[in-house]
Amino acid sequence: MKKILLLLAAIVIFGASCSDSTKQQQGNKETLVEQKDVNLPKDQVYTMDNLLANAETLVNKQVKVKGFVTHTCKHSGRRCFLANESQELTVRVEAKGNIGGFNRELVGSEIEVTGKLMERRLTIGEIDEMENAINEKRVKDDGAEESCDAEMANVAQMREWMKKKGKDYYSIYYINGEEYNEL
Amino acid sequence: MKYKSIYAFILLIVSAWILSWVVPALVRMGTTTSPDYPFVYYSSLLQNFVTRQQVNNKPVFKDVSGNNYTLQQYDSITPLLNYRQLSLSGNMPDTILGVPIEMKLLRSKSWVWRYNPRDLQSPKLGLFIMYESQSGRANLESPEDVFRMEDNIEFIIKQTGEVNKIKSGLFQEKLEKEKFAFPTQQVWGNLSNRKPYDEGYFVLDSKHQLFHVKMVNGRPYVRDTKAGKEVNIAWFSILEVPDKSIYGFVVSKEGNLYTLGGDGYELTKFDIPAIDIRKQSVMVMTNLFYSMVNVISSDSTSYHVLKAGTLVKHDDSFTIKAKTDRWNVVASWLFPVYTSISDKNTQYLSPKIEIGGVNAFFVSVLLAFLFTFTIDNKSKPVMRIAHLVLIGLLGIPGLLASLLIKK
Amino acid sequence: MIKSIFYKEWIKSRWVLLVIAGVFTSVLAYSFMNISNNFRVSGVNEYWELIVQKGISSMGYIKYLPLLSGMLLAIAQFVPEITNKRLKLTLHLPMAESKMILFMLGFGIICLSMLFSVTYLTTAIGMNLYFCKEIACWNLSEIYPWLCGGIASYLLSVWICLEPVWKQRVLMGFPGLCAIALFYFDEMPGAYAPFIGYLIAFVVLSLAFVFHSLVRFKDGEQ
Repeated sequence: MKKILLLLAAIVIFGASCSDSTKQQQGNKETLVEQKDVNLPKDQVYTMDNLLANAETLVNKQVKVKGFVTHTCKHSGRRCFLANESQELTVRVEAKGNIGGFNRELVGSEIEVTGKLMERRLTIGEIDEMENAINEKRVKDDGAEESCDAEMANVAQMREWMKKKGKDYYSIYYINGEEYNEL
Repeated sequence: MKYKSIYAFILLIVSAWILSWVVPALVRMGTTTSPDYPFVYYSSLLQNFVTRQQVNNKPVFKDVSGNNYTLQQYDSITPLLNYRQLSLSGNMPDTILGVPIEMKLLRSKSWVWRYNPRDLQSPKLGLFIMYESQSGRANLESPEDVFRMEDNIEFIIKQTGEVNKIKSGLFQEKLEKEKFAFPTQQVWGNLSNRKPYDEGYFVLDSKHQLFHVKMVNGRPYVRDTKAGKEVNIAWFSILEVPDKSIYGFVVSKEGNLYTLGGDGYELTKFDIPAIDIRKQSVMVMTNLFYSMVNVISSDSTSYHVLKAGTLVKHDDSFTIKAKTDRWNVVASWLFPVYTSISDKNTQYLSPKIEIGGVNAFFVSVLLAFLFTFTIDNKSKPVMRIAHLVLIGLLGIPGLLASLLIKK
Repeated sequence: MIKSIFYKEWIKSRWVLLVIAGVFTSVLAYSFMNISNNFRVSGVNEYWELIVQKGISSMGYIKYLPLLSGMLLAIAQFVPEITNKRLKLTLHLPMAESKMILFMLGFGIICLSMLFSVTYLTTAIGMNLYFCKEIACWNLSEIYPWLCGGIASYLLSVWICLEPVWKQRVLMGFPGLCAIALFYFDEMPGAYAPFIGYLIAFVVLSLAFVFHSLVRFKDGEQ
């Protein structure tokens, strides 16, 4: 009986924390993403919003995601960036598997990518190093105030997210793409 | 025997025609000289053209105002051309025109493109190689097939000579989806695998629209560049520039030159006068700041400098006349009219009548009268008239042909 | 009568024709063997790429064979005729002189045409078997002027053979050689496309050259 009660309590607490709005940060953009239902069908094609909302549970899993290509690596084509319609959320996609590279003409097109969702965790130490580098840059470059402020704001957001989540790392999600189709 | 005169007449005319090609061709081989144009480059430091020319087997460096420079000075005033030498000698400036200079940047912005009328006028095999544009490999790998594109697109497997129906079907479907109108007019691309990357082919359809066709990750990529809506395209030349800022060059039927931009296929017109696409060749040398355009004709070369990227005129152009070709002087006295079979502006062989010069007519007419009224005074009147006309028109070749036929 | 003329020409030229046919067969066989060898040693892919990228052709070995064949056949047919002026006897046969010469030339032209047609067809079939129609046409467009040159060299050689005066033969040799050169420029396949009509017209007109020499022979030029 005790064990059942404890389990129920854990579920309630977990449910309560997951229903909170979460802040997700990719690159230099700051967005607010509403938590969606985790229980999505297996062959679900995720939108950017869904994917990032459920990212924690989908790490290292095969996913299908659709989005608009905002940028490709012009010279190597080794990666591209997918964004949602409002372009507030972006995810980096690496060319792996059957994808030799992303051609630059894809920019502006909507594609559906199949691949593994990966997580890169930035530790507190790495974030501290980032902050130091920005401060050094601020001292070195006059007139770079705007970009330095933006970068500092990113660092601040990362720290806030970690504090809120009670984590000692910051997650950056990206996809190792294996296949894609132009829609 | 019947038709005696006709046989002689035919022999005379045909021999004269052949000799009117051979004799001038041999004389030309023995007399023609090079136009001897200097190498011209626009100096970003002097903001003027500088030339390099061999004089008595020694290089001479000058600017258009006539000032002389040593080799080291020439290197210094043309840093965008001689950056490797300046870097080696430690004299490379940190900035040029206020822009901080890095070797990587200079290399990525430097390229040369050439257009020759021979490119436009040459036979084509009609087979092409579709490389994988995004293989992820440093070197382009040779595919197992080649393709043809006339009334439809077909990939032919090299090993068997059979059509790869699946691949052909994929590309055909994509082309039709993008509203490509067969039959194909022209296919332009770089067939070599010795290039930094592959951008496939640019294809002109039956409605004169220019499409970009390539293979990306094993699948067809087809886009209408919309360039055909703006320009009447005669020729397209792909160039794999290091910074991928352009796909290549469009030459219009009116003789205007354009670049086709690497982001969105926008056309940028060269701010130079229209060229004669069948007679003039072009060389474009581009660096970080400028595009130098040389338009080469048979008797002169004009030099233009445009701003890199926008291709707007940056400075006044100037023209250098070719050194007088000794052949032209000789021809003007010896061959009033002659035949040429080959032409440096085309790969095709075709007989063409050329005019040598007015002086040659006087010489030939004199020769003709001399021959007709002294050596040939026993021939029939018809033949004498024929000799007169031929020698008067062709000069020495006509005389040789007449001597051959004369009894 | 016509049959007899043809038979006479056959007797004169059968061994030369046999040799020519043998040489053509050997060279064609060698050309195709060379392709097979390149396929095995360099690889099919690489050899196709050479053709597609550089426009090389595979039938270069037969380039001057038609030229030599035409000359040899002309010599075989007409040198016996002009030795001791035996042609006079031929021309005294009960047939118009022009017709007589025409049939003699006809024999040579028909034999050469048959030989060149077989060569052309063999090239077409062989190239289609090894490659595809574009490469076959590429090679055929290259050999076509050479084969026309073979007929031209036959007629021009007869022209020179029939000329009774030695000095004139030497003088005629120069334009004759230049005319033959027109068929054998070192150009890429397909370059002759606008020019081939002129060359065929020249071949037809060169019949007149032969008759001109005949006229001179008949007139007793010395």
